[in-house]
Amino acid sequence: MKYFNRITLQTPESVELEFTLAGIGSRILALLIDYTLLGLALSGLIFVWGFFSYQLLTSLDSLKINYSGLQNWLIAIPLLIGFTGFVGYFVFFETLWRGQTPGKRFAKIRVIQEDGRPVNLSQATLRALLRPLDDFLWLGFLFIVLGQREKRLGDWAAATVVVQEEQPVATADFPLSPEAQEGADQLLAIADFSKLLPDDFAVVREYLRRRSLMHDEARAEASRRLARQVKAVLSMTQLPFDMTPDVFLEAVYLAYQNHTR
Amino acid sequence: MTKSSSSSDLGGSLPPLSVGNVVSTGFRLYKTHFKNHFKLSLIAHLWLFVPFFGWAKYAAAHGLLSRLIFAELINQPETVSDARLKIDPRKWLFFSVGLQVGVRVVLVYLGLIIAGGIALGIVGVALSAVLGSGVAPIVIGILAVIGVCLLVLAITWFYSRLVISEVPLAVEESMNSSQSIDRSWSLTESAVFRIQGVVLVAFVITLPLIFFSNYVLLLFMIPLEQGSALYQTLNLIQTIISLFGAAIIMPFWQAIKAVLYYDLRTRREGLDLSLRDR
Repeated sequence: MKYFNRITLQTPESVELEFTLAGIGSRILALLIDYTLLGLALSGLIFVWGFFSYQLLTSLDSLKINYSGLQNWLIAIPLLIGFTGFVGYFVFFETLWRGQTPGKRFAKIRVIQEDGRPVNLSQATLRALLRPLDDFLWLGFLFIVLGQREKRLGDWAAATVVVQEEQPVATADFPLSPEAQEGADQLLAIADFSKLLPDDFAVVREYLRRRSLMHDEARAEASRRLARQVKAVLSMTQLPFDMTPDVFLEAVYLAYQNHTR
Repeated sequence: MTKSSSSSDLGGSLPPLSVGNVVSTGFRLYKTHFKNHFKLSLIAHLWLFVPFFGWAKYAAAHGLLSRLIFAELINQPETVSDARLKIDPRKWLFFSVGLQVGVRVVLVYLGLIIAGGIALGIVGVALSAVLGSGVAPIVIGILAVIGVCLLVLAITWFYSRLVISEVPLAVEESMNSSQSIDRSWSLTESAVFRIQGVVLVAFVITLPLIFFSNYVLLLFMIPLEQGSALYQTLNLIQTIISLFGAAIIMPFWQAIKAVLYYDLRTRREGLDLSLRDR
């Protein structure tokens, strides 16, 4: 994608893989979601722990037992649990979900090793332990936006990169009108579809896939524009029968597939 | 072994972008053009000291910055002087857009607060009568918290609909100020949730700068006496730093708005759907 850094990684088998780096926006989005989830979980923990501590101290009071050393423990234990929970959250998910946390999954990004393999336990731990340092004064942010490979301190230490999830090719799951097949047959009879490049076909398909979400007026304009362009590419002066630009594009979509088969 | 390469030399248009990718694209363009756009933004902020005419220049600079970024996105980059020829004659329209959006947001905000306050008051009186004075304050407190959350949601929803109000005026031909606002309203119709995400993520990026440019010096000023010479000097320095901070942030937001506008038009109007010239 334009405006995104790309990176070529070499696997241990010397295969070159190309990835698009995650970008600062998706990384912050993922972080916000993860921190919201962690924040909710930790507030729950503090609430339950506070309730438990209060009950414990009240009953010790009523039993007249001396508990002078206990209060420090009551503070230390949740701090320890909180820190373990913070680190554990990232380590658990990044290891289990092959480099993704709930936030990263939502933002469609993933941590991988520098040779393209999924992160392992020690790398996920190193990233999580250095996270507080990266968040402090937005250090990680500066490292990500200033570096060519968008690595924060945790990424440098663990030799990892964060990349965008490969977009699966969108399914061709859109309704066509009943006249489309008939139109396709007639187009195949008169037009030379080898002139239509795969890129052109992709644009037509993209229009058919997205048209239902488009604004009516703009959609009519886009379909007229595309139909005119496709007609020019196929060097057609007039259409075999009267059809709307939408039906024409549907017919082209079907005809192109038949032609390549 | 790794090697990095930038793909910004590739042609072609962008497909619809995710929330994170809108911000990344905006930030990338902001970074690329930082030197030029910061200069424009700084001059615009100095215009703020001139009433009315200067304020119109300031409002128009927002449009100028978004127009330059948008031109980049559609692969038809413009020089600053070319873009200015289109923008400058319309500066009073930009001023009017700013005023109209400001007035609307303030009115909606006040309206919601007053309506919410009255509703809470009525419910409060009713609840106290039914539940008695022991439990009622707790229930009213919870209702108030929920009310504040709803208020924040409502006001950000409303603002999301108007967030790109000045961009159509800057980019499209023959627009007046209310048409530009209407255009923002209709383009953002089914995208409010995504826009709120974009604004939140972009805001987080600006947080450190906002903090440093507006608050760090204030911390040193707290112990000082208000009238003292040192206080006055620091106050002046603080004003200058804030001005620089605002001038650094403005091109960023205008880049985000330009990408958002481009993305909305891609989704709603298929701006990217065109066969390649050959």
